[in-house]
Amino acid sequence: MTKRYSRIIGICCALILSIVGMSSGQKKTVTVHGEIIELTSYVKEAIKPTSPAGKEIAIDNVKKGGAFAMLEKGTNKIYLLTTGSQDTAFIQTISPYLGIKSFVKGKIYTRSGIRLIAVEDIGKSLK
Amino acid sequence: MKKFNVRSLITNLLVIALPVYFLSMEGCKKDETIGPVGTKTKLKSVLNFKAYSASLTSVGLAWAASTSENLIDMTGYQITVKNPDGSTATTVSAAKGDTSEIVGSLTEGVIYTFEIISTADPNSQNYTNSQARTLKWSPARRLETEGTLPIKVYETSSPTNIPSGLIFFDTATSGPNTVSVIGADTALIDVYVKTEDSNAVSLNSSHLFRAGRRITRFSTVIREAANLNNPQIAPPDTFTYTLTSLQFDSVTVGSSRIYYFKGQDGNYGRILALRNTPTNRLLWGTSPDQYLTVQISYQTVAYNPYSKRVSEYYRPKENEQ
Repeated sequence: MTKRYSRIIGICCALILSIVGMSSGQKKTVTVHGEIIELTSYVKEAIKPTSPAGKEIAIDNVKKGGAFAMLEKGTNKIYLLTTGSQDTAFIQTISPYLGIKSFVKGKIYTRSGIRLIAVEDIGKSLK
Repeated sequence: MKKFNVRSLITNLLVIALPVYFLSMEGCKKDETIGPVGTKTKLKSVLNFKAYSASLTSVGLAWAASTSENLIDMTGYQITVKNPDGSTATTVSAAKGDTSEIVGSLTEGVIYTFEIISTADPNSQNYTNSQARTLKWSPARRLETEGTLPIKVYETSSPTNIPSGLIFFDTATSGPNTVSVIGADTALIDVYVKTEDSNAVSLNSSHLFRAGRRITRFSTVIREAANLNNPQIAPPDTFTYTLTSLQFDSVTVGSSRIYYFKGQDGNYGRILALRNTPTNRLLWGTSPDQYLTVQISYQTVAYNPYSKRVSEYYRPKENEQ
């Protein structure tokens, strides 16, 4: 009887610990393919970097406090992009990929409907 | 008949000869202020005269300063660039204290002879120009980005929509092209990045992925350098191009590294594997998407290893790959 109780208590502890672990930042790493955009120009004015002068507008907006995002191919879901811990030159890293089919790899965070990727890598996508 | 007067003859001779003598002595005095060339000392030549291909139209030169630089009679350096036929292509001057120069307006693939001399003041009584140091080199184009993007080649364990193959110079884009190893451009791929394990990859000749694909050979000579502006006295000898695979692991390194390659069609080049500064490794990213970030110096004219005449090199037989 005591043996059974101790087993149940052990399982419960393991479950609690794993839930706590998940909620304290054990985020999933994802790779998302699509197009790098600037959020303000895309949402407010429907301007993509591939639009005429779109790249210049996007970079200008980023300098004014705008944000980079990934427009996922196929789903059109928007993922906000933020810097991974090791990248100290985030804007310079992301800017060359504006308007180019790309992928981003990083940990994904979601809250209140916002999807956020902490970018660990960005590269050319062949999709 | 008038008597021959010896005294007047001597007097006349002296009247003519003395001014001629003094005038000629005056001329000699002028020559003495310059001094005969043979008695002048030659300035010391530069040491370690080296070169690198800086761009499509330029060659970078570097040297260790002449030990004559402390002489007031030394004015600087003169670099003469000679065409293969011996005619002068251009001349460039460098000041005392300079130890490098980039010579522009050259033509890709042409093997130029570069001569450098330490120059003496033309009015110097004691010194004359040094002997020339020479070397041969060619310009070669730099391929540092793929369009605007850094050149990243991912390991083969990455998804197929992430590029693992690299075409050094794609004539369609006049630049490097990263592609899938199973995509449409496989016949053009020169090298690919193969997964070895979760902490190691290899940069392989394309034919190791599938028989019949292009063969790239790497030199056994590897250099540590921050960038491709890495002057050398001569490129590696052609017999050193014996490798078809280079290994990259998670070991930290002190610098980026230059690897020399010879492509399928005899085009020579250099790959700079950039060091990832936060981790100090040549391997970037995390498994299964590890990658190499590279820059390339590429000679589009075949069988030109930059500094030696074509005839000095071994040419493969037609049926040899």
